[in-house]
Amino acid sequence: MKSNRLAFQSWCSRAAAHIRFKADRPDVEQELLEHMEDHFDALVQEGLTAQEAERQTLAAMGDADETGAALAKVHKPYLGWLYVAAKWLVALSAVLLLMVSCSTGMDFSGYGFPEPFQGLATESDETYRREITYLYPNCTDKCNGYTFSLPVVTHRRGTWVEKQENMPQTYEAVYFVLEAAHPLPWAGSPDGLRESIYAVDSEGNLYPSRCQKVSHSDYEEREVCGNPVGRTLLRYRFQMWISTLDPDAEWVELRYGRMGCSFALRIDLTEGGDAA
Amino acid sequence: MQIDKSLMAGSTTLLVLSLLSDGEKYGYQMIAELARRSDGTFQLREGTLYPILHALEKDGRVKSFRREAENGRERKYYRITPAGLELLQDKTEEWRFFSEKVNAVVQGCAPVGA
Amino acid sequence: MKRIHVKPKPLPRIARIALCVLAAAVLLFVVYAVSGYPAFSPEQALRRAERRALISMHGEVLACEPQMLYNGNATRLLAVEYGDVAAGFYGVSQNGPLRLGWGAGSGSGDSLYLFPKSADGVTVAACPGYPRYMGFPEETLVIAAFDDVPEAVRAELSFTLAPSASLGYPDAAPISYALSAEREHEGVFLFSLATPEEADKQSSANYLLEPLAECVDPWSAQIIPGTFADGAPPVATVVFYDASGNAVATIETAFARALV
Repeated sequence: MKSNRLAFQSWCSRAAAHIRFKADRPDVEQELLEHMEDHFDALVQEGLTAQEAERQTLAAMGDADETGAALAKVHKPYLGWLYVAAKWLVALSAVLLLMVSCSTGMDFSGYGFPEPFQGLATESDETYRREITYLYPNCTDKCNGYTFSLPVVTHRRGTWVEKQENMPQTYEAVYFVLEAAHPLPWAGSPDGLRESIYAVDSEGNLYPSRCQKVSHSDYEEREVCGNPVGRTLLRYRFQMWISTLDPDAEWVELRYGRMGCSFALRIDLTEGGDAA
Repeated sequence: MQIDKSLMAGSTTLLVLSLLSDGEKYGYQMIAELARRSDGTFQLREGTLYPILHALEKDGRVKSFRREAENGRERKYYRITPAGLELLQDKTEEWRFFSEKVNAVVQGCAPVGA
Repeated sequence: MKRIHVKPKPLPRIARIALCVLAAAVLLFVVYAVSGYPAFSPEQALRRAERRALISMHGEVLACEPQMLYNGNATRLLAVEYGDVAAGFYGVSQNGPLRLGWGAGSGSGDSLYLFPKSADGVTVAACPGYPRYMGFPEETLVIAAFDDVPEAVRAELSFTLAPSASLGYPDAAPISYALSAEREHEGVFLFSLATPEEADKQSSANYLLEPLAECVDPWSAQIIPGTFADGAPPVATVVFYDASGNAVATIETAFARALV
């Protein structure tokens, strides 16, 4: 058996060698080999000797090179080469990803939204009475592809228990979270709004952005201010406040407008939400 | 009787498809069946069977799969597909028409149906 | 060895190729995302910065100057014009990993400064350059004059920095500068002024030049009243010369302040 195998094997290898894409050869070789073994077995069963059966089988197969040329015409190498190229592409991409993620350090510290207004006092004490109301303004507006909304809004009112000299007895402010969402992940956080965002209220008071003001007094001033705080893949949040609200104001509207872009978000102060 | 090889060359696809039309077979089985049906006339050079089968498989006319044969070994079987049956029909029709015309010329009679 | 089960047919080659290409595309996009979505050119990075700055106008890039090589990163300072409304500077560097593109890292490394155009016919603004005051030798202050005088091929810029009394410097005399520049870019003249060297860092000159460049930054622009006399930005005089050497126009205008 072994010697037959060798002769058959060399015929098959020679025929398959014509196939240009190497990975295709083993299957074809095996099929041809199995065929020759079947023929050999059939001849042996008819009563021929191993040697004679071998000779007849090889003769019946014909010319290895001719068969090989015909096989090569059917088994074109192009898809095979394309497959190898595609596998290399995946491997190189994976290596590139490894290199890039190691060098950037994959900083995820800015991801996720923290609990808003941590560090702000919520309890009343003997000298100062605090009242915090949650508001749910149902407003969104769009500008430059970003959709702005106010997911968290708190209305803070404080009253000094004792009469104050040279200062108003009460203090009112709105602390809120401004969210900007953009459908494209590479858009980036709209930091440009911090410089130019302002607010107006129903009494006609203006609350300019902190950086629009020339000087800051010691007392709380009418202003809008805030900082970026957290992001997810498509959403960016700013923790902001409008300070020294007019107590008579029924609503306050956050506004932005310059160079072709504008948005406005109104917060209704008269609606009562849940007290904190 | 020895057949001129050139006469065979054009009909190999037709023969292979016909052999598969009545059931799935593996390579040597087809050779054996071919010899049996033609009383040993068609001794197809066995090496040329496989390029034909692989080309038919690429065109979707036959499908291959591996299975255990009767002799206990595992073999690659071929089965004809609906597209293959269509091609077989075309080739059979073509052969019939061709052989009719050859007969007509050789016998010198008017074509049937004139 | 007897194999009893029928071996399942592997996916056809074309399907495997398609899957590989898809996997590679996904991996490459992740690479792009992890490296901070770099832009493919400084102009594209500018468009992204404009989007983030919430301005829907697209600026026309008048000049694109390499600044200094910082950590091996190429940098560019762009002079940008927004019609008659505004003008500005945009600084960006090729800072992604593998330095594949511009302004990677969601633009955290770039800076867009905008100022309103003046009605006087020329808008003069000083820019701290990019990267900003990195402490390398040969620091220069870039001053741009966005002009409307197409026939001018040369311009001379002169200004005097007078410190305000509240600064309280011993050496508090006004300092005058006269700079000259050739027309290298259409629509703008770029002047460069070398900032005082290390030894002179204590001089009042340096303490006046820095605030001048801060004018373009809205947060820092508030220091103007306390820095310059009259509490106002300094006034610059620009003289334009045409090809034959004649003075075509002489315009006086104040240094521009940041647009808010």
